[in-house]
Amino acid sequence: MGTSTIDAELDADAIAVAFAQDSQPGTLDTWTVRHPEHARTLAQIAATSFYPLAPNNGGSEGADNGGAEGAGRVREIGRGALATRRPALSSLLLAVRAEGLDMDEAASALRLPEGLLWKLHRRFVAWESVPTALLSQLSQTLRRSVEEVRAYLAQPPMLAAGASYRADASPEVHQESFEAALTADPETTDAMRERWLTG
Amino acid sequence: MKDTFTLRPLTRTRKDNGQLYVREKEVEVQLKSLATLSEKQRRRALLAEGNDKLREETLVYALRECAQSGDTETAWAIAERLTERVSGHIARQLSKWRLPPDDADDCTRDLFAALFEALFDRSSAGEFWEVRFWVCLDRRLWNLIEKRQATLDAQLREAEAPEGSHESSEGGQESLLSRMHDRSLGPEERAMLSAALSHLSENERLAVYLTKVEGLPEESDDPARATAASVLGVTGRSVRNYLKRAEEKIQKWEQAR
Repeated sequence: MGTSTIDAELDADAIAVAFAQDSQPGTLDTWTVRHPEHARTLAQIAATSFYPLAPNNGGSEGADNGGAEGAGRVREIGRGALATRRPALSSLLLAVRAEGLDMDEAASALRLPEGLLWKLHRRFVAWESVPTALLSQLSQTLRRSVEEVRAYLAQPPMLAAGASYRADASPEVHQESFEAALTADPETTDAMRERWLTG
Repeated sequence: MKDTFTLRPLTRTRKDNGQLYVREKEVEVQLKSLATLSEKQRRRALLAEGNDKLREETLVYALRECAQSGDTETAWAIAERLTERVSGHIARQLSKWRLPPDDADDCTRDLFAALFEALFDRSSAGEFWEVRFWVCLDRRLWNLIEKRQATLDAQLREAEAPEGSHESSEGGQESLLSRMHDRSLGPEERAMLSAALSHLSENERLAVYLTKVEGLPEESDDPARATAASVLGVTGRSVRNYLKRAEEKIQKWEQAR
């Protein structure tokens, strides 16, 4: 968007917001004389403010998309637009926090030991071994697509800060399988084992 | 990331009187209340499922604060909540214009692009969305729809009946529309009028509002005078046709009730 377009948008927003703060029947003609290029928008604001629109439950002609079906379609497009702009998942920890959860709460919701969730965050678990059901649950908890979660886990392991300090060679992290990580975790319960390692 | 959530004052001023824009009282109260919460509690309050108590302006403020402090995960999570919130409203608005499905989808796509661009805009221009969210959203939606509506209107005009026939639709009894401007109407009658108006196209609704509530003439020989035709950017004849169709639709609607 060019500067002049942004300025025009800004002016239009300023006028619309100022009018919305003042709007009363009978003031429209003064505003439209002052801002003829925004007359229609001002009329729309005034009309909607005077008589808020009731939900359209089915008109007498043409296609009506105002119901649940229309809202669903708009939501779908909105989610798609958001997904293309939202930065890729960069941290499981931040994504968990963004949902208002701590790691222990997220682990509990996922029925995983907290230590294993930290390992997933640092990508110490081979992503191919993570059960599909867990990927799906993670995606629901974080409100990210399964593909996004998978792409995050498939990246190289995250080294702790300072791990390479004064090291002669780049440190390597050995990834373990999901099953090994779950089995080795002292907090793993029988129910967790049952849930994630059987079937 | 340091928790720096505080109630930042608005910086933009109105061009006409130089006064600062003001947030609505309810939004101020919500923001002050959010500022007293811990970071975690605040995220929960902002992102709680089905929590429609927080105003959209409050969510926009929180989103912009999170984005500016580097907490993009939370900022986008709030954007997701806003997407859910606006979907029904956008669908209702689109349905009034009865655009073909492909045009409606294009409008929706362009609108969300504009919405996300504005919400994540770090300049003070984004403050308008913190003051009147729905005004900013509707203005963009109307602009997008109107471009497409112009084509549909041209098609409608071709199919219209000759001018002059609209007088026949006005019966002896006082129509619902003629009582629109009456400020003494009770809540029930106002709700009925809102319901009736939701069956009109956008041009019909605006023509009715401009002539019946604002008292503007349909058209005028005086170019300096605001008229329904000049506001809508159409001819006086189109305004009369919008009014005629509006009367017919409302009569039909009243009979069907």
